[in-house]
Amino acid sequence: MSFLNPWGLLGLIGIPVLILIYILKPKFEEKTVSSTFIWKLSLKYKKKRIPMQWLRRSLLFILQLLAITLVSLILAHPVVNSSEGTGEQIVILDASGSMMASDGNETRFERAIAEIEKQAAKLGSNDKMSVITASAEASFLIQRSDSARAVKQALKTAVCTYEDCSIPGAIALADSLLEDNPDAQITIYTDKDYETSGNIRIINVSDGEWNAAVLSLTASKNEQMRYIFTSELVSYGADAEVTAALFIDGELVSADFITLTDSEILSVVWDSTDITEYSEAELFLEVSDSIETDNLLYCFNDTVDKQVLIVSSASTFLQTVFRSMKGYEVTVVTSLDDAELTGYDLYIFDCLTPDYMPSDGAVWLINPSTAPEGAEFTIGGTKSGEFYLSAAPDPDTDTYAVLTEYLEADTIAVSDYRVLVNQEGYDRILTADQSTLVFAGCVNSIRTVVFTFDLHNSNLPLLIAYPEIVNSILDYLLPPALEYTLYSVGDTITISASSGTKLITLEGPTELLTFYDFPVLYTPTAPGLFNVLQTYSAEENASNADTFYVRLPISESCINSSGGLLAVNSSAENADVSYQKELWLYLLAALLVIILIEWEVQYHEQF
Amino acid sequence: MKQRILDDAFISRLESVSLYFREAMKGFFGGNHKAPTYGSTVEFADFREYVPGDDIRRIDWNLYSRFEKHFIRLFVDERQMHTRIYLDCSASMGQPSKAMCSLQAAAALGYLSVQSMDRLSIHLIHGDTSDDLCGTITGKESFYGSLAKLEATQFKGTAHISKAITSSVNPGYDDGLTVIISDFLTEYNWKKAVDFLRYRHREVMLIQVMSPEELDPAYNGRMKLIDTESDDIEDSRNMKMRINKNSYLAYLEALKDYQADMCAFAASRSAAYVVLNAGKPVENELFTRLFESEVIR
Repeated sequence: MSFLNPWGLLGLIGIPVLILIYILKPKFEEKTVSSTFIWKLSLKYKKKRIPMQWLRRSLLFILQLLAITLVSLILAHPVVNSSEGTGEQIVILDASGSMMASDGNETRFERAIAEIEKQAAKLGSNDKMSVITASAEASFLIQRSDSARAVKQALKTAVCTYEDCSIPGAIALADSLLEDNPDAQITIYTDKDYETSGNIRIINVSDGEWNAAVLSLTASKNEQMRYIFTSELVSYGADAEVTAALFIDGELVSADFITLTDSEILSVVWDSTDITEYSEAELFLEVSDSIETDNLLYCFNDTVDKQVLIVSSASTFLQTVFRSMKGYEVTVVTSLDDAELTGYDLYIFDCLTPDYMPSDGAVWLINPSTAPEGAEFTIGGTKSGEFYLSAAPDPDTDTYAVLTEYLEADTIAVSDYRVLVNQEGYDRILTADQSTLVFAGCVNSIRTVVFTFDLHNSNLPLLIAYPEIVNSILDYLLPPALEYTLYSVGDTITISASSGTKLITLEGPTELLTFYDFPVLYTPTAPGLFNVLQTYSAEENASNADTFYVRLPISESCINSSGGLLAVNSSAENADVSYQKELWLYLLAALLVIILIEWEVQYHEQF
Repeated sequence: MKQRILDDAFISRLESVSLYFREAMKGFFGGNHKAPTYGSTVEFADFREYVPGDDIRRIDWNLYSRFEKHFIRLFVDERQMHTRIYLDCSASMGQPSKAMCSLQAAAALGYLSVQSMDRLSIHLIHGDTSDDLCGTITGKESFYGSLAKLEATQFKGTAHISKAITSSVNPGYDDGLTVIISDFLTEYNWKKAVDFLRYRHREVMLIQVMSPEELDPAYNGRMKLIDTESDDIEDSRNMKMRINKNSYLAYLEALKDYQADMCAFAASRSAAYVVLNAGKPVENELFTRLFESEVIR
């Protein structure tokens, strides 16, 4: 029992005061009577001494003592914190990645389930239990069940994830039950310590597990243009001695014995690998710890040159700009006959128009005389004059934003241009003289940018921003399939389709997925190595592949972290009061009874 | 102004009743009470067969002519009684209402006596002795004269009724009524006095005067009861007790049994027993109780 207003206990001072009153009260009141004869006679008429006669004589004093005590207790506002038996129990099961930590016999998750089953076994006839699993999102496993067996069955379907855990989200879900029954008790089975308020009980199921992890692996080039690999290693829960093995493109490059201190991140550098090129680096910790999935990390070299074909008889402006850029391998042909319209990432047709649009890459048409087959636009006559470009009337598209990032339209002047008669599915980017001079879009899966004027007939190549403008065009035409090569479980991965991609196949450690709509938004649920295969229209075999690695969230590698403050919402905070069982009403009822008895005894005393 | 024991209204009411003796007593000649013997009054009482030595003037010749036997007439013999009133003057009777009630009872009975042309003597019991207030009183005039002395009665000390009466100079013999006015709340055996008086063929009346507090105690709690007749605070008559409902009920039961015992004893001795509540008007209480016990008619 606890007291919400301990100052009320000061009322117990009344007890010594009462005792003092009884001590100081005159013991016998003297009264002169004419004769005590009858009183003496009456002594033998008094009822026989009953056992505990002293208690009867002291009854009034005892009742007054009880009354004072009860008044003090009522003023002190006593409550009783009941840990169980309130009728409804809400269990939150932490299903985050750190719960996979194992001591060799069982994981924390399995331990938590066993504890929940024990709790369910104690359900009374009027008790109900709900179980909520808390991973990145919380959900009910079972709701308000009065059957221990049903709870046990439901627990068999519980799955521990690799994701972060949102206990506050689970509590928000529990609030929906608390609205109906503020007396329900919330028990959280987790491996973290939380500060709580309200009727939340934390049961930490961790049991001395420890975990070593690779937090990061990066590569950089030194002055000798050799790759240096840097990694951050850590051990949580104990000091550890691990063997760190570095593999480059599948070959063991280095294996080092490393000592890790509990919770101290150690930076390890491999700077003598003599690697000038690589595509894939893998770091593996050979250690027997509680979680194995974070003992491995990859680092990919995504600087593969894009293949560019320039078909132009006068490609000076284009070649010049590509020379200033990295990551492109440019092939220049001067006639369409020499152009092999396959196998390139980007096709630039400068004043030469192919018969058909290449299907395996992006296309940049400059001053086309006609539209290639499949291009979905029509070119009319030419116009000459002095034209300054301006932004298209409706420049709110993403395409416009990408292409015009470094572009100030009114600085571009054109002397001749071809009139665009119509276009289907493209975004207008720049206009002049009420005609569209630059438009772009992804039509028939082909990313296309079209300039209806010759670069030689404009001042565009002379602009200082010309390289950036071309870079923007290239960013639009050749978007990376993946923004990163390293993700965590639960991240939403955007996979962009290359130009001409018909389908994207995602191959993971446990699944193979095919997507036809782009971009692909994928959320991995397990760590592992993933391959993205983009298949083009004309071929079954993928010609473009990317790789990324999904890791265990860093927060889940730290298996001995503490959580924050947990509290139920304002409406359920009332449960803090009602869950703490109020006693003052019962004490008040007892006080009233005591007072009635005391009055009765007083009356009998005074007859 | 001190309340008079008898006022005019009380006296006028007393004049309408008279004492009634249950038994025939000898008494003295010249009273108003019929004696069991035959006397020389003009009131015919009975016939008796003539025996030699009877007064021949009493022979009823009418009976002779009828029965041819000699019978003489007998006439009622009326005697004068002597009422003796013994008043307990102990401290327990000194409670104002009890004192007034007992004095009024004594005066009332005294008046009834002199009204019946009986003699009266009032004895005040102090300790083991009784003091004659003012000798034998005959006639109303001398009775009124005794009232002043009666009113000056002091109630103090103790009273041993038996010793006082049995050692009395002239307790009387077969000549009237002895009235003992007391609360009879004493350990002394007052019953001896009754037996003594009955032995002396005295008609006895016991008048128990009780105060309202004695009849129904209204106090409670932890009390130290001081007896008015106690010598000091440590007197054994004083007692400490916790008076609660149980005690109160026991008191009432004890009082009831004591009075029942007194009533039974009085009945066994053919004595009248009257209880007067000093808290009620004496006049009404006295007349009611005396009529109930057929002491007066």
